[in-house]
Formats: sequence, C-alpha cells, structure tokens
Amino acid sequence: MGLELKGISKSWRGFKLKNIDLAVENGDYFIILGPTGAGKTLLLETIMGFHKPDKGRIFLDGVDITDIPPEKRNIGYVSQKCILFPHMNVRQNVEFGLKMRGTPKTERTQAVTQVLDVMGLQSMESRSPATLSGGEKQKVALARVLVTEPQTIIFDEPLTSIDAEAARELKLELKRIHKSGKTMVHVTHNQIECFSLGNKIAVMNSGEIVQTAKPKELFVTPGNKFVARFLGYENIFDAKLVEKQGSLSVVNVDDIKLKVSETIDTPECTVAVRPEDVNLSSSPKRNGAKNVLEGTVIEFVDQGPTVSVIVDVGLSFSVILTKSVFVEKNLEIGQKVWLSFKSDSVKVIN
Amino acid sequence: MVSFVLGAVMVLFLMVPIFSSLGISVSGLGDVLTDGRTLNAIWVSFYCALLATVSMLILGVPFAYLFVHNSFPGKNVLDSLIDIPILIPHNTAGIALLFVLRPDSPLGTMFSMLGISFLDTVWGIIIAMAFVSAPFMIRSAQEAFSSVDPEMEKIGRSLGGTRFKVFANITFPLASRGILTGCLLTWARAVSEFGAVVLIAYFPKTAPIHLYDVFVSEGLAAALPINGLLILLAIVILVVFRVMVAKPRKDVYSNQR
Repeated sequence: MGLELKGISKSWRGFKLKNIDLAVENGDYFIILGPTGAGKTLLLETIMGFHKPDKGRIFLDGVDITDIPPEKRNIGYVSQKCILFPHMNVRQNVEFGLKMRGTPKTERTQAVTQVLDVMGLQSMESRSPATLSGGEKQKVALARVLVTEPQTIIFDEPLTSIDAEAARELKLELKRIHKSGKTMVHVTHNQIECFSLGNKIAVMNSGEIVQTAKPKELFVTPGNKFVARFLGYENIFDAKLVEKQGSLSVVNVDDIKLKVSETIDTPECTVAVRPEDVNLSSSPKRNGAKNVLEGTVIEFVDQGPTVSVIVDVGLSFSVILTKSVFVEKNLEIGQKVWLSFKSDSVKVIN
Repeated sequence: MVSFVLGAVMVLFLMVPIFSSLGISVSGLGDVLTDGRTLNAIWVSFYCALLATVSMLILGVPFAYLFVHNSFPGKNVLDSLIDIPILIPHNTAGIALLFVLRPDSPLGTMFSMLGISFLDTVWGIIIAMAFVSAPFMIRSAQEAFSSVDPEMEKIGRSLGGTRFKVFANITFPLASRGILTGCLLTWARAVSEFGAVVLIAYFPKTAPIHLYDVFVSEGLAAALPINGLLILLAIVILVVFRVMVAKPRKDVYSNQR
C-alpha cells in the first residue's frame, strides 16, 4: 500500500509526463530527482489532483484517487516558495487546514498549539509572515501541513529557497517527521539532498522516470548515461571490450586502455568514472591503482570548496580536488600530471 | 530645465481651469447648497453611481476571476473588447444602449414585461453609468486576482479547502484592496458620466446634466457655483479614495485565536 502511479501520461503547457509508473510504499522517503524542466512539478501537481492525467490512474492506499478533487485526497503539500497566507499570522496559517475541514474550535486550538510546540514555533505564533525568514516560513508551512495529519506529504524542492543553515535545520526536521511514520515524496534537482534524505530515488528526465533504485544502488550502478552524468559521473566514455585478464576486463576508449573490475559481456559498453575517485599526482608514483594515465592539465574550474581540474590524457578527464589540496599541488596549465584510479572505480553503464 | 518648464506647463494646464473656476464660484456656493434642484441632481448621481458600481461588482468580479484563472479560445480578443466602452465616444455608448433598450426593441420589450423601462428613468441612468464604467471594475479586479500567487490557492486546496472556501478565505481577501480600488474608480467614473446618460435618461437629472441644463438655459455665471460644488465634491472623493486605498490592510483574522 501507499502511493501508486500506473501509466500516468499528461501534457500541459509544453511539459509532458510519459507513461509514469511509481510505487511509493507507506513509510518511504521517496525522492524524485531530475533537472529543471524534467516535469517533476507537473508530476507532483498531478498526484495532488491539480491536473487530471490524460492516461493512467493514481492510487492511494489501494483507493483510486484519480478523479478525487485535491481537497479530498488528504495529501500534504509543501511548496518550494515558502508560501504562507500573508493576511494571516503564524497560528492562523497553521490553523487554516483544520478550519477548512470544519474541525471544532477547541480541538483546532489544541492541535495547533501542539504542533507549534513540537516545531518550536510557539514564540512566533502571532507574528505576520512578512516578519519571518525563509527558513521560518518553511517551518510554518510544514507545521500547517502536519496539523492536518496526512499520511503522505509531498515536498516540491522545499530546501531551494532558504539559506544553507536553515536548510540544514529543515533537513533534520524532515528526517524527524519521516521517522514518525509519514510517507514523504520529495522532489529535487539536488543530488546531495536526495542521498542524505531518501530511502528510494526515482530519476526523472524529459517527463520519464529513467531509473528507480535505493540510493546506494543508484550511486554505484547508474542505469544510463543521463543518470550517471546527473549523479556526478563526469568522465563518461563509450568503450570497446579488448580482453579479459582474470577477474578484470580491459576496455579501449579512444586508444586508452582502462581496467574494469566488473564483468563485461558485450563487445561495446559505456564506462564512467567519478572525478572524486581519481587521484592526481605530479609524478608517476604507483599507489596500487590499476589505471594510471599520463596527461596535461588544460583547465581549472573553481567550484567553491573544490576545484575541478581538467586533464588531457588523450581524453578529456575531470578530477576533483579540495581547495586546500589544489593550492598545495600548485598546479599550472600545461603541467604534466598522472591520474590513477582503481579498476572498481570504473563503472559499466548499460 | 526643459523638463521642469514642460512639467510646470502641464500642471498649470490641469490646475488653472479647475481652481480658477472653483475660486470664482466660492461666493455662490451657499446658494447652491440650499438649491433643491442641485442637491437632488447630486443625490441622483451619487446613488445611481453606487448602484452601477454594485452591479458591476456582482458581475465584473466573478468575470475577472474566471478570466484570470482560465484559458479559452478567443481570450485575447475578449480581453481587448472589454476596453471598448472606454474607447468609444460616450454619446456613442448612449446611442448603442438606446438602440438595444428602446421600448420597441426585443430586449426593451422583455424588460417592459418585467416593469422596467430605461428611457428617462433611474434604470436608464444606472445602465448607462454601468456600461461606461465596467472596464474600470473588470481591469482592477483582473489585476487584483493576477497578483495572488496561484500556488497559494493550490496550498489552500491541498489543506482541505474547496474551490469556494479557498476563494473566500484566501483569494478574495488578498485581492480585496484591488477590488476596492476598482469600486472607487467605477463609482467615480459613473458619477461623472454625461454623454451616455443624457441620451438615454435626461430625467431624472444627474449632476452633470443639471449643470449642462443650467449653463444652456441660464448662462455661465449661473453654472459656475454648481460647477464649483461638483469640483469640491470631486476633491473630497479623491481624498477619501486616497485614504481608503492607502490604509494598511487589517488582517482578516487578526482578532481570532
């Protein structure tokens, strides 16, 4: 039981959902991960009932809710925009859902007080939304949903519009809520969010679910080039199987030979290496790595706490160094370097 | 410097006719304020404009809401057509209304059966005022509804509110100031209408028609005090309008716990 989507298709204002099947079990923290424009918000809004699917059915705990209006679905919704009703104070915002459901005033007051206490919002109950920070607003929005006690809550990029510190706090809150037994469906384009929160991840691209897996499985065995690239595998190459050396396979990528620990059964495949799995050194020292490539530094890309170093080894290869390691190595454009990485860092993508 | 001079000319162009005619009429204001015909005409104008505003509030606000929240073929064309009453000469509007509402027209006959006649009646004044001022209400309400984030309505629905409850508790309160502005603009436009009203309902006389009547029959000197009174009333209305629109919105639920 839980939330189930069967063959959902929908076209709306240039966005498309194509035959989407999803099964979210009760108690899951289910992440839908995809780039901007993948159709994630359209999918959420279709689950919420704001769009009627062109094809397919949606089930909640075994009940077909496809034709049920949004207000009767009892699915909580937290938007990315930290939206509170500006003409109501914090308490009135939190109380809104119960009021809409006709809950008697005494019960309402009690329930709202309890949720405000649990969320640590009691001190700001009479404040106007205009006086709250983004993080505080999102917390109130969360309390407003929790007070209505939905089993399933949908989050549309809830950490996007708030600062890093508030996002960290809200993540902890989301984990706490999940532990209390709620089913969470969380849409994001941020892979860090997805691995730190989710227990299942569906990757979405161009209106399709391209892979659904547990986080570790997805990280280790991305299902295709798109998933690999989206999850940070910057070095992705088409390869040809050359030979098998015991448990290792040797593949050829543009005349560069790479040793792979996975078994390869097809003459052609795609291989991927995460840039943080590659070691960069200024001398050809061996560190037990099966793959050692000589190359020339051609570019640096500063990414804040890390630096991406692009090395030409006959292929363009990306390596990620922490800022301090980068400074210590004192690299220069045109400098000769050696890249090394283990054979099990080379992932085979079907 | 050139901008300053041009700006000054613009201000003088607008203010000199108003304040010079107001200044010259001050001495006669006392007589006008005790003149039953003038006071009655002002009363007719005010309450007909109020009824025209209420009717446009009832018809125009739901129309604006539907317009903002729905897409349909021909929406852009309809959007342009809404402004026609503002663009056409107002006596053209009067002629058009007279044509469709004359007693022997199908619509006029239908209303006659209900006991409603438009020629020289309050109904005629209201319908003419409503016709020329409708775009002000619709445009203001459209703008007000467009300013409410649709995401808020989605959140309201997801929290258990029906479409109507969400409209009543979220959309309308948030759009209310814009709609109030629309009401005031509609009323102000309606109360000053002459061209359309004069053709369909010369009687009972509204303030602009009474002023015209006095000017034609008794001359400029007799018309100036009435003119001054109408300008004074317009200034008072403008001040009230500014105060009402600028007043901070009181939270809808501010006293509730």
